[in-house]
Amino acid sequence: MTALLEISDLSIEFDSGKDRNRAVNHVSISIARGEIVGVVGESGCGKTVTGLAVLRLLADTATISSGRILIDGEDVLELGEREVRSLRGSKVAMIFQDPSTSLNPVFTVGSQLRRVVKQHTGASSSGAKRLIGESLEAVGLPDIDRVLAAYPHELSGGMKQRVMIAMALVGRPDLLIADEPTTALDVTVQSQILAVLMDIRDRFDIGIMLISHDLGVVSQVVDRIVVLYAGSVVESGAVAHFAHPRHPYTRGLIGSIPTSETARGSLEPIEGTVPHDPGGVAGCVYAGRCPYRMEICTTERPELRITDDGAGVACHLRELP
Amino acid sequence: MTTPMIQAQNLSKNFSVGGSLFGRPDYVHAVDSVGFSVQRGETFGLVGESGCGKSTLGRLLIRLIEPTGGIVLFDGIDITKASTSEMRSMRRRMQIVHQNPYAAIDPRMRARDVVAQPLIVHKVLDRKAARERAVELLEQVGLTARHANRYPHQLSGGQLQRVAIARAISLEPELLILDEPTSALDVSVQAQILRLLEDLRDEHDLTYVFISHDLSVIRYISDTIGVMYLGRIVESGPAQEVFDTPRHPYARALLEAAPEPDFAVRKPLSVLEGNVPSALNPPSGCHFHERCPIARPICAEVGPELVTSAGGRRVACHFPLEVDGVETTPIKIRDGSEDTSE
Repeated sequence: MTALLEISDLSIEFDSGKDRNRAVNHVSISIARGEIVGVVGESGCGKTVTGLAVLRLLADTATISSGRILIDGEDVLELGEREVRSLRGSKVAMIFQDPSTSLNPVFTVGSQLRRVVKQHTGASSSGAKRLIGESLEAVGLPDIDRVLAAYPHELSGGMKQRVMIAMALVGRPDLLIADEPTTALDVTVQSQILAVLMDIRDRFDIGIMLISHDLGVVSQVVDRIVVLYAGSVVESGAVAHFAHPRHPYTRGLIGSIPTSETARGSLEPIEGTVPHDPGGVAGCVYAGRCPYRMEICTTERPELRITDDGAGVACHLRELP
Repeated sequence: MTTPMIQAQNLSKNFSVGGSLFGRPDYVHAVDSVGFSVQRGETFGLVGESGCGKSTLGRLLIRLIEPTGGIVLFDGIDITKASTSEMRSMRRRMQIVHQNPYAAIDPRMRARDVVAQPLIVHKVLDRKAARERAVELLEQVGLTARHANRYPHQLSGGQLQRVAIARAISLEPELLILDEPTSALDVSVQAQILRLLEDLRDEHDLTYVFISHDLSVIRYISDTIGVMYLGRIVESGPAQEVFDTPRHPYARALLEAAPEPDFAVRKPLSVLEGNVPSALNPPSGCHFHERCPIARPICAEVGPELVTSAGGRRVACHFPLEVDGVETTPIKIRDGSEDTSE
């Protein structure tokens, strides 16, 4: 089976004039149709940049220095400007953290939705109406006429995010990239939006890349998880694999989240900070903070090794103590 | 019974909004007749969704804003009636840490001056001694002398939050209001700050009012908690008990909506339908009745009182959920795998 999205060996560098910074460091991620994959990591780990690269939305200061991004076998990085435009919206769509900055405050939801339909499909006006209606209904906004007539400020944060998802769906994409879609929302609304993502995955059989800093959110809805640290994939696998994480960073990250089992005073933070220029680190990007650091870790970059449960771990240590 | 460190009685805050020039203004009841008390050395966690009034309540507690009604007793003294000079001397004993340190700290001041300033303003030390003390304080919160001369933009979010905490403890206060102190930080840094706050609490016998929307953080840090919804505390009590057996339907829905990461077992997504209503025009009776899965006619008419039961638990609900787990009305659960369209 060919994957819907196949990112392989992707590296992205940013040139700030003074120095070059590698934000994404030989990253490989694949997503199949009907699959939700969580891409997880802390700020600056490269998760958003990876998502933007799939849509060819990177800033001019970014250079892709290695790798391929295949969608249905076709390399996105090879496409011309015109082809990229037809890729966006009709093959791949993206939604962002804060829906109120993604919607235009001076136009009604209806006019913004119709514009997107016009841009991405050749649908007739009755066809457009049907597409919009179906999309709004799929995201749980059944009161279509009221929503279409509303201006963004008349909708709650959760409704706005539903509108954004509907807008992403009107072009009937195969892949949805959702970048922290619930981070700006309250917890009770957050679970509503997660339910919508699961619903549309089933209904339209699309692949979803769910970018998040929140392992709690991700563990509820995704099929597989990819953990990024300082631009590198450190661990990836099915959700169940993460019950016993094999990479010291993943273990540290999970240990940083207080749970009902965490006794007072026993929360274990990860000491130290992320390296300033991970591209310049000779060995493992996590070596500077790793409690299990060995000599080889500072000289040799660990490859993503496939474990017996089919997961991938980029660590020189065979077994975590 | 010992005097509580901080106690709110019938505390309310209305903000006027809109209204025409001559017309009657509308009011938002941001905090609506709230009462609770926190003993010395305890951590009280205040949890709720955005707009529930938790930050307003935090600011009322140290009189950064004036209440519309009710009183706040700080160590038995009613601070809402204190004069400006009385208030000034009392302020040394109560401090606040905000969510975003980049907004709470003057970008043109070096870290050591940020921390030294309260000592100078309150005439505790002269300028030179204050700056020396500031370095000690920065070391207490896990920074080094190297950081002392940096400006805010040269520090990371976690480091700058440590500066804000050092500033807050510089006057050796007894009470700290912590308003979402870790919400702007990454989880690994959040854990560092939580551990720091725990250490400081034990070392200085501090009392915390810890405000957060993050349930896992509240559960970890708090002795007692209060759950807020639209300006009212709907449930309060010992943190562990409220988390284990929430009695208010909203508290339960909130807890279920934010499960802990569980990779071994996929639990069905628990979804509470609807949105938090506008505080400008809250629903009649119990504010939660429109979203409540077990609401009955009386809930739309009469707002339930916060009733105290055994073990210091309080709940404002006409039909609180049973504690012993005999019969609790299930909240609408939607299985993530089913094909749904509403």
